[in-house]
Amino acid sequence: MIKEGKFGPAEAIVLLAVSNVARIFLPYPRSLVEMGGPAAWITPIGGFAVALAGAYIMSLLLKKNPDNTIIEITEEAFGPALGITFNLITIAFFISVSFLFVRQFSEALIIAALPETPISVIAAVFLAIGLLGAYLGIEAIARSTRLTYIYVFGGIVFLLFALIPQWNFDNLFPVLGNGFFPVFGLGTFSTAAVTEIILAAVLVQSMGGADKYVRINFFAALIAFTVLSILLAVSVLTMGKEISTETTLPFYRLSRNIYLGRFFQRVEALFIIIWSIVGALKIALTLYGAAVSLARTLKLPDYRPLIWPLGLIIFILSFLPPDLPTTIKLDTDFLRVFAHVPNYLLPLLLLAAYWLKGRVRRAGN
Amino acid sequence: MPATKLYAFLLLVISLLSLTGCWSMRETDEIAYVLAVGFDKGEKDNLVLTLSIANPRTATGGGGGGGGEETTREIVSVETIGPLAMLDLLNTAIDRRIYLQHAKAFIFSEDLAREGIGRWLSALMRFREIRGNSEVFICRGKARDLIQKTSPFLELSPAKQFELIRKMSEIHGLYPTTQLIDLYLDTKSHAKQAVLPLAAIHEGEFELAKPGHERGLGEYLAGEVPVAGKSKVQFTGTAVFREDKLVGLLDGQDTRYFLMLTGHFGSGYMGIKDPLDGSGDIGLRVRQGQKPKYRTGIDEDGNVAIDVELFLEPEITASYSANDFERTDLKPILEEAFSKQTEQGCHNLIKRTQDELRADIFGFGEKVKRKFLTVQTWEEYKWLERYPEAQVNVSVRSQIRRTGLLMKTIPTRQE
Amino acid sequence: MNILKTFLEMISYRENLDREGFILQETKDEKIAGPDSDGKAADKEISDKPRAKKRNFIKPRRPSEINYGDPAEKTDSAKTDSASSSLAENREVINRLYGLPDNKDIITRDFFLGMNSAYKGMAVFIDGLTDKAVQDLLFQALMLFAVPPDADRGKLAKLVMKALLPGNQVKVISSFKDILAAVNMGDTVLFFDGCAGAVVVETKGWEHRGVERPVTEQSIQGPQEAFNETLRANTALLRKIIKNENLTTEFSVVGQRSQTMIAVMYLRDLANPDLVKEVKRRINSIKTDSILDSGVLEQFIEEHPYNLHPTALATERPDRVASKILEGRVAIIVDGSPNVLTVPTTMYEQLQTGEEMYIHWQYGTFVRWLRAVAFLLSFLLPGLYLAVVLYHQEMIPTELILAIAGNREKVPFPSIVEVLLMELSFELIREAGLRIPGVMGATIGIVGALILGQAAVQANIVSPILVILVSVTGLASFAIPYHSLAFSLRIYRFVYIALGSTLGIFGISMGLIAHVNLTANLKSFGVPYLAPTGPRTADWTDIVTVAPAFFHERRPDYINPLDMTRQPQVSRGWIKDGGKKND
Repeated sequence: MIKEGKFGPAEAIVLLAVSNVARIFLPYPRSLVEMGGPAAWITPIGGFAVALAGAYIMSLLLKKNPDNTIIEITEEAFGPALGITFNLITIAFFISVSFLFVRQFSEALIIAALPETPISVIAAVFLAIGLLGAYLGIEAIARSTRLTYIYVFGGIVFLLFALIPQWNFDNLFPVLGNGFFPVFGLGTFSTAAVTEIILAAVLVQSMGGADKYVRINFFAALIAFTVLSILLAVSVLTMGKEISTETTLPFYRLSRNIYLGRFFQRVEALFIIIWSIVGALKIALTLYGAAVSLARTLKLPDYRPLIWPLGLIIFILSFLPPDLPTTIKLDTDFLRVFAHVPNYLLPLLLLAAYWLKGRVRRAGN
Repeated sequence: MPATKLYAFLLLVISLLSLTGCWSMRETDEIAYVLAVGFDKGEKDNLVLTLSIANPRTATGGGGGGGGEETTREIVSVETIGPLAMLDLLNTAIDRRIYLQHAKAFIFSEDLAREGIGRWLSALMRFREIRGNSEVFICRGKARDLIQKTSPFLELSPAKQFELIRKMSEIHGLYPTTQLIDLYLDTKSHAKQAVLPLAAIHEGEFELAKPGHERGLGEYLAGEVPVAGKSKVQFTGTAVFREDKLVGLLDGQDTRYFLMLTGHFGSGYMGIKDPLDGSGDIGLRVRQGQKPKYRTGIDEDGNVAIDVELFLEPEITASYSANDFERTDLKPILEEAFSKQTEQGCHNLIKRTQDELRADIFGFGEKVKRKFLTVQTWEEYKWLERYPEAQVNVSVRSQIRRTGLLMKTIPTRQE
Repeated sequence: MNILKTFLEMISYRENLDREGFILQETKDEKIAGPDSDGKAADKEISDKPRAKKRNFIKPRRPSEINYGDPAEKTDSAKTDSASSSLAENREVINRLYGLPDNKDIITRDFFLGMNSAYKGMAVFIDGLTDKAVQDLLFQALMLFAVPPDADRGKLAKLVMKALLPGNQVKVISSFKDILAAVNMGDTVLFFDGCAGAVVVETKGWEHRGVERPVTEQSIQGPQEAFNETLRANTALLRKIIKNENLTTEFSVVGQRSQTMIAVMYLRDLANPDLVKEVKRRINSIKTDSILDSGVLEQFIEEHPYNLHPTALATERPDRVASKILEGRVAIIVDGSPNVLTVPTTMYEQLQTGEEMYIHWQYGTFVRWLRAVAFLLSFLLPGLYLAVVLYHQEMIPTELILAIAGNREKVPFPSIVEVLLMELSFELIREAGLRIPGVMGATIGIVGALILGQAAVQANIVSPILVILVSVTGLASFAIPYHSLAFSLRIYRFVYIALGSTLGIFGISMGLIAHVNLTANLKSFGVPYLAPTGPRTADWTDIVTVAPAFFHERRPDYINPLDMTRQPQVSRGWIKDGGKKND
């Protein structure tokens, strides 16, 4: 049995929320503005609803096996061969999230702060911190998140609301943006692609069991989707949909625009602090998720031996995309689609499998 | 013992990292801090860029400085194919790395602006060192001259000058303020055209400026204001853009009406003839009490009607008239007259933007946009082309709140 | 090869890292009484059985097999441990054990009981450790006033103890081990011819420092007493504050050669029994030759000795220790050390002085927030300065960056050298100021810093802003009340300087997150070091903000004491509703 450590719901909520919020620092919001236009801020609402539904379905599964995580449940339901295949998909998902985030965070830092630094150095530093976090375990990550979340969310809120003098509410119009389908259809599909449902299902034993699963996920998603929505709204309010669509890193551009007087401006360095802390936490978390899932799949007594090889794999994978546009395209076209498999498709299939098994058993009786 | 060696090893790694590292590091004294950039037309498609570079030795203050008079800034010009190509070209002549993060002002010459500045803007927006909240000005004449002749009046650093000028707009409303990102946004917008504040050099004494006696307070363009003294650079008036091209200039008074109509007017002195007998002028300090209210209507054919309601709060600051306008029964007459005058001014300005300039600088489109549901329908409507046909009505309400330190005007004793 | 091996071991897998599986469990009281917060579950985990396997990459010398044993013990145990009835034999043993007559500290004195030569006796004691006045009284009683009884000589010792001696602590022992321990502690041992037992009379009275004012932890308000080097005086100081029969002092002896007494003090009805057991287990397991100060003991019992942060709190103020004991913590007093350890400890506790509770809560809050700023400045400021000045010049207002650049024009060194130079001189001044004897020390500290800074600026070696920076950092570091914590931050400061100068703000924030991760992973006797914020527990009254005294209703949750309630909801009986709106 893997000794993972335990933490409370309050920590679980901020952990998942910070993990979910990480995407707002990346080029991701740009694609949402492109999708929704002035109504981009509405897109997370649909995603939020879908994520909640997904979390509920997942909780149904977890409640059936209160002592296990999703990894064991998958194997139990599908049998060894199919189960391990599905678990490997989950692990591949964690690795994809991790390497794409490493790459995007590193690229973003080069754009924003360290223009002449080689990307390998930044990625290596990010991964080193991620390795350290994953090595110390989920308890340490959760506590660190608990300690830093006030500064992370406080900083985000401060950065967004410092722009109030530049808000122009006319920018939010036309109300429906690019139309009903892009905003509610595509927007929902894109924003619902979260990592946290499956991640929380892997960590469910550390978070205090399946009973608290939905509640934790609800609050975490509420925080994260609200922040995403506010960011999109502020981006459009401040810069209009045109610049919000054009700019690579909307949040960074926003933080550069803060002008509260002659002395108080140019606060983007504050933004870089928050940004890299969230990045490091997210990478540590996904690395940990991948390592723990793999250890559980392979029924190893400890996940720690897997961290180093997984870290190396992620490090190498993160350099495979040739350029930033390709990476972003991978993020939007591959990861956001792939995310639906372990988060939504897998639990549905599992439920179906259970239902079938139940029918077969009943028929047998 | 291994512990000691381990720590020694780690220390070694860290120190090695610091030796090989520092990729993006720049010492503060290896940088040339650019404070303002001027854009002029060069040969053919080229640009002539003029940089005002701060001299950090003078910034350390009075104490140790000494050693003769040093200027607070150095001026350098370069002719290049684009705004960022200058960095490399200039660094063939300047030993310090040109650094634009502290550039406070971008000044385009009028000639350049008439040809369009859009392509320069997009290069500026892409470059990480350029800040979106730098000020942008249009300069009558050459931007190079402007930068050379700018001698900050009281300031040690020209950087402060440009930032303080931004604040002055709220005091008198004789020029608008535009930051780079707003300008860029307006050149992309489907609802609004850009405006920029106007600057110019005024050399010599009063006689070079156009005679002042026939004009009101604000009816000047930059370079014409009769101010004499050390401060040679003037900011007055507005440059109006259509798309990214300059199409016309507004004088100070029109700029005030423009600011009133957009709700950015802070305060300013204005004058009015005595509405009762025309016996003398009355000076008012006008404040915009509330943001303007807009009401838009659009019919099936796509004809737009816009009602703008302004609310102003003048305060009597000077009265050369024999009438006692502080009296509650006479005050409404003055208020009424002032409202009429302002309405007329606004109306003339709107007429001019519709007929002559054909540019919706007020952002009426932003209000019309609310009537549309999706971006596609709005962009197909092509508001900016339809603006000249729009029906805009301005109504002004004013309320004289205070009369300064005097409550009653007793006519000067006539012998 | 050692390094390579160490490195390989660092990155390769070792089975178990939880050297100490001790986790402070919740007590019964809490389970019933506590409207517990959610986050508290963190330290409730059921641990695996503590596994004995040790980290192998650094092998501490385990002296378990090596016998450091007392030479006396060795020879004694070889023969016989108990005193014989023959005075001559006893004398011989004593002579051998103490190396008499070479050893001049040991005095053996012969006497006749009640001036009767039939009853021969011998007193053994160490000169200098005993109280002469008490001894005079003792010999007077035995030699002059005692009436030799007609009793059996074998029971003489008992009789002397019961009837003849006026000393306050007298007992009869027969083992030489105990006899030696008693003599070494300053007691006087009396042997009687024909009796197999020896009488031990308490005559301790060595020279020691009196109770003085605290030197390193000064406060304006509050008690002005400090511990001294005498164990008994220290326990008495604590007992003087907590007049409670449940206050328990347990002794153990650590150090085979120094035989140092270590007292563990706690409130029997409050401290978590598991905690007390764990403290005793760790102390008793120590095998070393000597413990000279509580700082040495701290290193022996800490869970994470490789982390820079101290996980035990040492203080010289009895009132602070008393307040800790009253919260359910355990105090560890080492004989000969004026600093008393309290465990478990948290970082927030180490940033407090205890004085905040004695003044108005608003003042206490103000001081603590100030200290929170000092805490951050003390390790971040130079690194942050370097990061901003070298990588993020845009962050600084234009006028300021021009001023910084202007000042640096004449300085020939890179910024990092400047900072290291100033930091180094500041640390030198600090260390020298501490070592220079007497009054000069304090003067050197301040004057040295001023003159050095001024001269360095005039010589164009550093820029003036750096002098300000380093002084502020130094001040901030002095504002941290706990010396060990300030020390750890002083070292971290150099790490952040390295990070800031290589990777800018990004490096600083990576350092921060690693620092937080490592620190959040720390435990002090099973209690998370960053409690009550990471993990979050129910307390809020006493972290950074100090709540009014009447709000401190519950003891800190993370200590898991037997009784959570410190005072009832309505603690101010004279106010009808207790002065609180509701609850």
